[in-house]
Amino acid sequence: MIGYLARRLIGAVVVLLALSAIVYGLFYAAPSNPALLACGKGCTPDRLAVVKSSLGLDKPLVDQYLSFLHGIFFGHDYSSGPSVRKCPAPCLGYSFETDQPVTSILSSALPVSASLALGAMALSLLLGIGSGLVTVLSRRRWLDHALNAVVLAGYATPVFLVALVLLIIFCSDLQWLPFPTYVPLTQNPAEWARNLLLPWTALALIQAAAYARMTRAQTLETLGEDHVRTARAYGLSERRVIGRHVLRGALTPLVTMAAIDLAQVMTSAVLTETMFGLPGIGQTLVGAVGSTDLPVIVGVTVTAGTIYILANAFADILYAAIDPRVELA
Amino acid sequence: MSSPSAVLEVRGLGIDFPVRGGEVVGAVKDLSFSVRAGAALGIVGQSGSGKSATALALLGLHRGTPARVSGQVWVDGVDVVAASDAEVRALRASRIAMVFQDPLTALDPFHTIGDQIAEVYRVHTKASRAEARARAIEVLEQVRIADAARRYRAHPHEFSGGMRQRALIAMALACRPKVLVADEPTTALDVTVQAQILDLLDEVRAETGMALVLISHDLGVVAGTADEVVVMHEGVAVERGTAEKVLLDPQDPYTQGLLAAMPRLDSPLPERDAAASEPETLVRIEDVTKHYRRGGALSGRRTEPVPAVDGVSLELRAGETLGVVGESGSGKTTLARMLVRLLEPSAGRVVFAGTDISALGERRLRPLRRDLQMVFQDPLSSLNPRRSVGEIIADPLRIAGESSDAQIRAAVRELMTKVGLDPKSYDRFPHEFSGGMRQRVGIARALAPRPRLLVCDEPVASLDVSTQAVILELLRDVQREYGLTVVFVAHDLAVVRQIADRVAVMRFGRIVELADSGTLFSAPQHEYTRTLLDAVPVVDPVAAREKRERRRSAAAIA
Repeated sequence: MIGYLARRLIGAVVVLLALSAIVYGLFYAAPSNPALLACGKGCTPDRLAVVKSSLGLDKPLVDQYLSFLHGIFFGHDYSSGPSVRKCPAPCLGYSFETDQPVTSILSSALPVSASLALGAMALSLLLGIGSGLVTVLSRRRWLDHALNAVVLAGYATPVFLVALVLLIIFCSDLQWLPFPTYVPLTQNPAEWARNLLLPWTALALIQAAAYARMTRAQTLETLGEDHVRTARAYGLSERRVIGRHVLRGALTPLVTMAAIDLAQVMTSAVLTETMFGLPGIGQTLVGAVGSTDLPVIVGVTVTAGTIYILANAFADILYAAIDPRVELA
Repeated sequence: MSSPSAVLEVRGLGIDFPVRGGEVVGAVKDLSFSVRAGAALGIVGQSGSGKSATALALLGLHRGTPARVSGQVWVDGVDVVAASDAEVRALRASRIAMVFQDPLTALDPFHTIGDQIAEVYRVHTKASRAEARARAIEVLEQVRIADAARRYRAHPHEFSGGMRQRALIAMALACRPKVLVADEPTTALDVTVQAQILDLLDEVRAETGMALVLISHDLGVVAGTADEVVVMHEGVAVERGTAEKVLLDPQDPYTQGLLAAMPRLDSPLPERDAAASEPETLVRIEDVTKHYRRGGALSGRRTEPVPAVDGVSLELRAGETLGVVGESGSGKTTLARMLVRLLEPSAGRVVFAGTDISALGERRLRPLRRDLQMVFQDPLSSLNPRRSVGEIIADPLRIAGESSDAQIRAAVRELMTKVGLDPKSYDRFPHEFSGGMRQRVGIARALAPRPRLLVCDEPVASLDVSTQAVILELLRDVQREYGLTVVFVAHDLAVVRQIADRVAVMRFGRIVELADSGTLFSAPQHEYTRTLLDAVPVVDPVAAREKRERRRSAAAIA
């Protein structure tokens, strides 16, 4: 287990290094002239030269990348003329647009994305697994067909449409819920949930479709396995057969799927975030790309990569905990 | 046959399966039998005889499926056909229990062996957790699982096939049922393990006094265990009686045919042409080894390579048939595949007709490929389902450079006739054929490029005995006609005895004994060969019981 984690960690570091190098190279080497962007409008040639040297943009690209890495682990000092600006580790630089540290931008966006993703995933797993099981176990044809239709509709509906409909009904017409604004969990848990309820529902309605389909298929497959016949042949009640001998096997593959989905919702739910005005990771990235805010782009990409890697490792560990045949080695 | 003390009584059992178009197929028709406490009934039949459908019906397992069951199945005073679902559920495991064919899949992989047994016990007895645990350990000991208290916590994947079957039998014993139904309980197991499981079933029947219903396609399996035998054919009991009477003096032509087709260790050997003096050597293998590495390269674990074949040397004489026998994991299939270079040896040489093919590049190997052909075990999965059988047989001809369509068709038709297929079925597809017919297609395909070496890997293992006999006959015929050298790999010693001139016995990747067929079967030299031969089931019930006694005394000494 420890050996597994160590190997996993090394792998993660390699992936992140490669990822940051590619993103860094792509954006800084492209003809975007970062110094001019950092300098802002109405920049004089003198001022441009100062910015260039203070950001280290006059050095070769490889040196720039290395000093970027150095900043992550040991911090970075930006000297512009006589004044020195200290950026403590982990330093991802400063936004060209707002001049805020990238790390503080991330630390305000991450809780928003995490709140959105965790709630939406919990709700969609509940909905998806529940309805998937109902379709299989009720053995009512019409219910199966009806749910299949709903699932298909869920697949096909874009999230912004669902979001818009929800907003119109619940915030505008019925006025049961406020137009969402993000309230930190630590500040007021009830308001946090009340404001996030609609975004969670919008995402869950769509994600749940996939889980319902998968639950249905996996349960049907497990029901046909020999050991289920054994359980029946030994007089176990149908409830016991399903509860103890079918569900665990049937739902195991969902673990991997859900973990990857969690990472995806956390990092790229731009549409949902935009529709509900949530300042999460996705919105931050899209905003940064729009204004070619290079430090923010690189920072967000590396963070998103980290989230994916963590989610994957988590899925593997969970899988090994559920299935005794899987060994982490 | 009915008697007042019968714990299981079947009267007029019929099982129908509805098929598309509103028709029904009768799987079992008007079947009646009864079993007394402590007795053993064998039900024998080939695939499609309705024996497995009967087994499931004994426990009411057809419920919830489209099958329609009629008649009566009395288990300890309850009619399984007419009883309510709850009554049937209460009956299962507590009064009638079942052991299934494939022990690898019959247990839940997520729960420990002990928990699964304890669960069954608790469901039926309302015992406490501790009592159920104690009972589970007790039955695990009863099926001779050593260190049962520790093995209680093992998951199924940590058990071998034989041990899993023992665990399933333990589960069946847990609630002390009156009847135990065993449906092909040893078909998926090696011959030595099969003997152990059959011995165990016989012992627990004697210890517990429960009735046993043993279902098998193999007459030899029921011979040593059953007192009475029912022979089924197309859903009908064609013959019944004591084991001695049915197996030694069968009256029904179907039973007689089945017995005649069954390969036996004591049947007269078919005559062979005396080998020419000093035949030339076609293949020489020298110290061949094949290692497999466990775990992929990406898993990062440094693993000890596992030798599948470990330093085998052997000479194949032109025109002979070499049998290779061994249990699963003995390396016989790996060796066979190296002979035709489907696998590259890790070390050693395979010299075919003077050329070392063990490390030859694919380009230089290609001209030799047509000389090296193989027939596979599973005739369905080794034939491309999307190509017609004629095209499948034609493939090697096209590869060999034949391009005239008319000539190819003519050659394929000739081959099809030779292997007993109707040439008119050129354009039909593999799924339209029976198992035996598919294997004929496989043989025709192998013969098409006129090979010199034909390697057959378990070619008859998935076939019924009557079909087995026909395919073996066919292989003998084509060998004679084409002057082939044949390597015949099988786990079934009686089958190998029918066809091989010489036999190599493999174990743990090595050849432990290599001798002429006659010598090997009449005077085996190696200990392991003797163990294997002792484990082979025989159809004579008296001889079968003697064999069991011999195994028991051997086990007692060891």
